[in-house]
Amino acid sequence: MTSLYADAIHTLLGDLCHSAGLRAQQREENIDDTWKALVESGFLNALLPEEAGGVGLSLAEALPVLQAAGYHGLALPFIDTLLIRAALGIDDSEAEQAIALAQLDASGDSALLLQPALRGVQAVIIASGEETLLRPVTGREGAQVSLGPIQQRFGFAVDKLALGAFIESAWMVGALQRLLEMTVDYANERQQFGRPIGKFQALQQQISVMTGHGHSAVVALSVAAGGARLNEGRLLLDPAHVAAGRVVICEAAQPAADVAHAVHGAIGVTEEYDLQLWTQRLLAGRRSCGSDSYWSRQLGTFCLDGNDRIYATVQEKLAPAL
Amino acid sequence: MLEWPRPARIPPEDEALRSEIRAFLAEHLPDLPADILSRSWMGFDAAFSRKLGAAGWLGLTIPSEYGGAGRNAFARFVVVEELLAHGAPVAAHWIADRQSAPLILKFGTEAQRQQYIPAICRGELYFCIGMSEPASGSDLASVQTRATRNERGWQLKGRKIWTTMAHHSHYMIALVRTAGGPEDRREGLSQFIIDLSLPGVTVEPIRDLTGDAHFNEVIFDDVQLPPDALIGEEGAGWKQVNAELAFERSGPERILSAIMLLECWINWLREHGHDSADEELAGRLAARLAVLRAFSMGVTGRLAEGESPVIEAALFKDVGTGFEQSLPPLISDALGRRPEQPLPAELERTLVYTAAIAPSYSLRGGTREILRGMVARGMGLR
Ligand SMILES: Cc1cc2nc3c(=O)[nH]c(=O)nc-3n(C[C@H](O)[C@H](O)[C@H](O)COP(=O)(O)OP(=O)(O)OC[C@H]3O[C@@H](n4cnc5c(N)ncnc54)[C@H](O)[C@@H]3O)c2cc1C
Repeated sequence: MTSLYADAIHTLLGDLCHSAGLRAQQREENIDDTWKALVESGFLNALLPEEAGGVGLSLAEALPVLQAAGYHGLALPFIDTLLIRAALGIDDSEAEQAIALAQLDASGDSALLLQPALRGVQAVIIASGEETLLRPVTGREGAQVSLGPIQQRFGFAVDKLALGAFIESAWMVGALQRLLEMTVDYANERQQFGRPIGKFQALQQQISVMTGHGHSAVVALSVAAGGARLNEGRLLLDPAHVAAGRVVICEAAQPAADVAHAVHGAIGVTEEYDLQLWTQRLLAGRRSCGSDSYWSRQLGTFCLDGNDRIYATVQEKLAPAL
Repeated sequence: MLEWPRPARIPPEDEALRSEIRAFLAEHLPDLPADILSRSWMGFDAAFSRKLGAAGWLGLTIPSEYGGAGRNAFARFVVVEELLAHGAPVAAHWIADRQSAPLILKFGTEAQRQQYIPAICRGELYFCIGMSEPASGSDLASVQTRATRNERGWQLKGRKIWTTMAHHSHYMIALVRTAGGPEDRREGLSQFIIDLSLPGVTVEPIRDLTGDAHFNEVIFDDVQLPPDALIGEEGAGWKQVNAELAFERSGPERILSAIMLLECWINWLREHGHDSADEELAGRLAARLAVLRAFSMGVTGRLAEGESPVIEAALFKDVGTGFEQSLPPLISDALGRRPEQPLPAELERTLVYTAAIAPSYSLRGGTREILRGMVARGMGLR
């Protein structure tokens, strides 16, 4: 069943995210049409219960759908909106805005996006004491967005950083998968010394290391999703699981990007060639919503505070989702 | 391209074994210091293996008619994981339980199955793997040990090296040449079950850099083997050996070799306090361990479905042993950030032992470079 959803989202994103489409997204051109197509796909409610008009997928079941966004390089807050709707229990089909996470600044009228690489953000959620607020975006300058009046109040706090770390990680995993495919394809196509460069053992060993990072990252996302549960119908992530998955995904980013660029040679560092769209966003993703150092420290404190053997903690508190 | 990993979770009925094996370990695990427990699957204790066998913890995937538990790969995962995580001395039965019994079950005749498997499941019969030779390491197909057919069965001549636990084993399953020459490569190789007590067999232990003697050189000087020493098909040795590898490379033993060191260090931090750098390192290691464990569970899931994920297992082993090998230098550096603080002797000995033996993690069971070559092939590059 899940693979049907994954196929559908891949088809849709494949249409929206061709080379020119991705560049248009960067410039925020035709972005409303792109968003409209995503809204109409119904995927924004993938994690909402069926009673609330959703698809009722568990987080583990939805992972392939989330990864698809990074795989296709989508710059719009698709994963964000999907998860934020689930975390806040927003099932209002009238207001299917593109929502991202932000941190209110001192003025009270503007905020910083936690994921500055996003494009086409129409609204943000921000924390306000024990409440969470949804506010529309009225303008944007870099990572800073100006906000309109409060649109909706939720009477509970959301762990924004854990949510953001999960969202960014899901995107990065899709990107890592795409980079690995692009790199293998290129190694098989590009010829030097009369043979495909992928026949050289030096590159084979590097690509094998990159494969290890890509596969570890896919597994890591299922660890990040572990411990997620529904609380009064709302999705709640477990910060320790998110931390464990996020650390490994962040650690994969630089070495994977390095191999991808090494294999692609000069063409890989051109504006025109698509590789850079993924490598740049992947590397930026490492520092959005807490890098590996940040989440390692959180997780380390969690482990050291307990009395269990560290391996027992891994077994009992950091198991993957299924 | 290699298929992306599919997460798998341990089924509840297999997970239920965990509390039982933990209770068994609480009662029977010898009380040993961490540096001795660190030997784990290099630590020989026949009495402990027999206790495991008697309690039904061996041969978990073997059908009950041969003395096993008739369960799936996950049941074995749970039990092995607990044994290794606690540093249980499992070397005596380790290879017999992991590889030899499944191999004999798959390729053996009914008589061979009856002869060996029940005793393996009881923890009484120990096996070793005879693949490497002095001139054949990574290039396994170049083995020169030869079995020649004669009127009484086979005559065996040659030598094996690095054979773990040969000095404590009853039998070796060896890959040898039965036809052709080195130029025939993967053709003409066969597997034999060799009784190590036969005349003409000499086992000479080799000491490793820590002073332990776990591996050996085994010399076959015209050893007369009975006809039924051949296991499986004559000439099919290469194929049979490769079927073992997914079992050999995918288990939790590929992430737990240095676990005692990690546990010791964490305990030390809890007793002596930690700073932000310690917390960050502890978190990184816990994160990597959690993901590697899930990785191993995923590969085990494919074994449980009857697949033979040889390449995935090679990939997992490469990443897993890289993690294990990173522990001594990282922990060494973390401890050395407090030069005035003395280390307890047990932690020091555990660190010294683990640091010395760690290079072997990515040699035994196929070197890192060979595994990466296999992965590259799986990715469509070769
Ligand atoms: C602790 C321990 C236990 C062992 N137990 C057993 C056992 O029970 N039974 C058994 O049969 N064997 C055993 N071995 C042997 C093990 O399988 C071999 O060490 C291994 O296969 C490598 O062979 P080698 O040591 O001869 O190294 P070599 O094959 O000589 O390799 C040396 C170096 O060259 C590299 N290399 C070789 N060929 C290539 C290539 N084509 N491309 C790139 N690089 C290459 C290797 O990766 C390595 O870095 C054990 C080894 C150890 C360390």
